[in-house]
Amino acid sequence: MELSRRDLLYKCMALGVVKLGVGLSPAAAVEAWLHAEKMARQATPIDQLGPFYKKGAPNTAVLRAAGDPGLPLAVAGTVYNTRGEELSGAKIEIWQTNHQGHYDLSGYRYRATLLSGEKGAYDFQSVIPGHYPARVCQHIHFLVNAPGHKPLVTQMYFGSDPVFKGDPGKNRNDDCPSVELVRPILLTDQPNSMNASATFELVMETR
Amino acid sequence: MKINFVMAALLVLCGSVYGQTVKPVAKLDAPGGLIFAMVCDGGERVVALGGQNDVYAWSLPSGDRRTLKTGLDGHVDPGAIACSRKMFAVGSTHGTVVVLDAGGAEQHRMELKEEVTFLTFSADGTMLVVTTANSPVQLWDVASGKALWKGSTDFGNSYGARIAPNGDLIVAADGDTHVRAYDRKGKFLYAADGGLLEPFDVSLSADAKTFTVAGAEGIIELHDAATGKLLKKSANSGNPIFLLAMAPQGRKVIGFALDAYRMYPAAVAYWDPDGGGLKNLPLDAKTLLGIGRDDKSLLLVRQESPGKVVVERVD
Repeated sequence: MELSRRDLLYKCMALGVVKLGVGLSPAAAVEAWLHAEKMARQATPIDQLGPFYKKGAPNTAVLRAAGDPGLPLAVAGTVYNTRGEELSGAKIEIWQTNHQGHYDLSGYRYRATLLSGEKGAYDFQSVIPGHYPARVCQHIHFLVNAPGHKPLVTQMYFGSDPVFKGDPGKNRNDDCPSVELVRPILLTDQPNSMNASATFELVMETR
Repeated sequence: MKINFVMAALLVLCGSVYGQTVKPVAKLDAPGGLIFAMVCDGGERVVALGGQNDVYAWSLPSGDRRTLKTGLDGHVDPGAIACSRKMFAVGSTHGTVVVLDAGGAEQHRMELKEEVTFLTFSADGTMLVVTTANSPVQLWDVASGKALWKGSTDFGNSYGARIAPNGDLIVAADGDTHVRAYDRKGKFLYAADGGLLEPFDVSLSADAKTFTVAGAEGIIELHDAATGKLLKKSANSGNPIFLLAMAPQGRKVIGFALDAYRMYPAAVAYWDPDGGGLKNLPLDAKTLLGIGRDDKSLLLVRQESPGKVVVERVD
């Protein structure tokens, strides 16, 4: 006989293996349990921190200065925990190269600190980072900190990167540890300029 | 030929102006292009990584060469090779560390499940300090091939790390911009500020009373090893420094600097905290394979040609 997860939970309650909170009916408990399971998210894969993290990046969502060369990029996303709850007030540090693949080591160009909003949302304006010889793939670094959660160190990659030849699943290399970190890029052709945009959800593990 | 002679004369002149001399102590036959080299503590051997993941070990001063077959898959990061008087250790980007005896026979194979980035033995060869791409520093027992303890960071990994000659102090350059110190049992001692950008390496003085740290900022700092207190700071070398070696006597230090964009050797920074500012040694950095020290002084390892490696003393 095969038991559904719902049946199994009811049987566990009947056996006393699962105890209900005061005022909670078995049906409500099962629904809450299944809802939580449905909402659950996989933690964002971790990726290397360095080598050019710099503490004290300015609080700004605009990394691209007026007139900066390179393809303008807008990134947006939400910070969650693995239960699927949105995390507001998470501190997100971002750093990347300019469009030519150079990190700013003496200053804070293309470095920023953000706080996620009420529903965990964040966004920033930048440019598509350049390639540089030591790393094969274009990438943006993220460091996310939120109380009660393990710090998340990861990187976002670009599905439009020529290195993936249009298929990151098939043509991923050692420089990019997980295909989940490769985000599709939407190109919008405006009358006067082209812009790129991407979403990148950040899912943190609880401590 | 004439140009080479003039260049050599200029280099010697520059060297004497700076107050340092760089003199060859050994010329070694090389099997071709090498990626990275290190001097085993004591200076009896030089170990280098070749393009096909082969590891070569030369005895000094005889120059006898041995090829070590590690059987590792993946690549070997520069820094993921260590040697003591009795052992070699090599780590792979796939997270395996293989420990070989002096004859090249495999003693242990450890699975760390993360890219191995740096290895160094304790002076007696009984302990192995390990860093990996996403975790804090670890100390392993060589005889059993088991981890003794793992350090901690606020986030990210440890880069370079060193263990004091008596094994009682381990210091690690951590990506969260700190240098952390532990005793041999893994008890956390202190976290010193490692700068605004990531520190990449630390080096302990021979008496383990001070350490130097350097990294992406291109600045070398001298700290008190008992407390972590900053004692002195150098000027900026102009390039990120990825590897450090402190002299066996005194507190002089050299740093292996890479170009931040290409990650090619860019310079060897020299700093004497007890006199004089930081200077880049007048040599062709493109030929540089590694730095280290023996019982007398600081050493450079350079590849003169595909068939020749030279070990030089910095006095």
